[in-house]
Amino acid sequence: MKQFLLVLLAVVPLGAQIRITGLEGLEAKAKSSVEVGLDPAMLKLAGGIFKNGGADGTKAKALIDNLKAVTVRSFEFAQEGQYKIEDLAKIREQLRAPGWSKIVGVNEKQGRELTEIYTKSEQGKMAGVVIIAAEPKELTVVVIEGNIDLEAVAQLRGQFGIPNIPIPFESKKGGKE
Amino acid sequence: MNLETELKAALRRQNPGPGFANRVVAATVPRRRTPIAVWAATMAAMLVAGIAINNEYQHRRAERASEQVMLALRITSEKLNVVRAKVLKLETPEEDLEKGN
Repeated sequence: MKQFLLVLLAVVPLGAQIRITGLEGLEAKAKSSVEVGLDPAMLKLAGGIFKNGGADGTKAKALIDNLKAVTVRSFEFAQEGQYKIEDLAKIREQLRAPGWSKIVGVNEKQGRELTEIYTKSEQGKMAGVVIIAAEPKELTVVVIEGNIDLEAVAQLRGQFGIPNIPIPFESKKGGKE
Repeated sequence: MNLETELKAALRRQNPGPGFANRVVAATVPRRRTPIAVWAATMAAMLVAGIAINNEYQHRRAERASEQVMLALRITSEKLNVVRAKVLKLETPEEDLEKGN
């Protein structure tokens, strides 16, 4: 029994962090790229900056305080076809682990455009989110570990330099989902 | 010359010259030491400078971290809104799109 448990723990790394792998080498092909990697210590430091930032700062601090790790890889290409959807296979493979579920999956242009949102739940609470946005000239993967309020993040439009771009059809549908 | 003669020559009495006693007395007076208050002040100044440098370093790290967080949240927010727009577009009937509603 003990051996079985040890084997199980080795095979299924429960709560393992999602790693953005398989995208090595894209940076050289990209026109521009962004890499963000924040561990709990860095997030704590960042949260301290917003302590005295007024209402917006409080909102941002509340968001950050619940996060454990944030990793972002984003690439913008000058031309199409600089990456393949298959490059995302290693990331998507990890998201088949227990606890993760796909809440949004939009596949367009015969599989050349892919948009997916995965969430992880632990004890009924959001424990992580992964966003994969693959467009012909742009590829973005966001991995957030921790309790994150997606609606609050989406509502950051117009604050902290996030452009307030109106979303088509939003008002017609009554706004937020 | 034999050894005895040499020793006698070497150990013969000599006049030490004027002011010998004063020189001896001066050599026995303890040297002036740096007061402990000066050391304490130097240490305190170094400590304060060290703390200030560390604070500045930590502040810069925090600023850099907050910039990174905001960049990550900005990208996340943008992508969430792109997804939202796509989902809303998929849910919107074709006739509504043509009417531009």
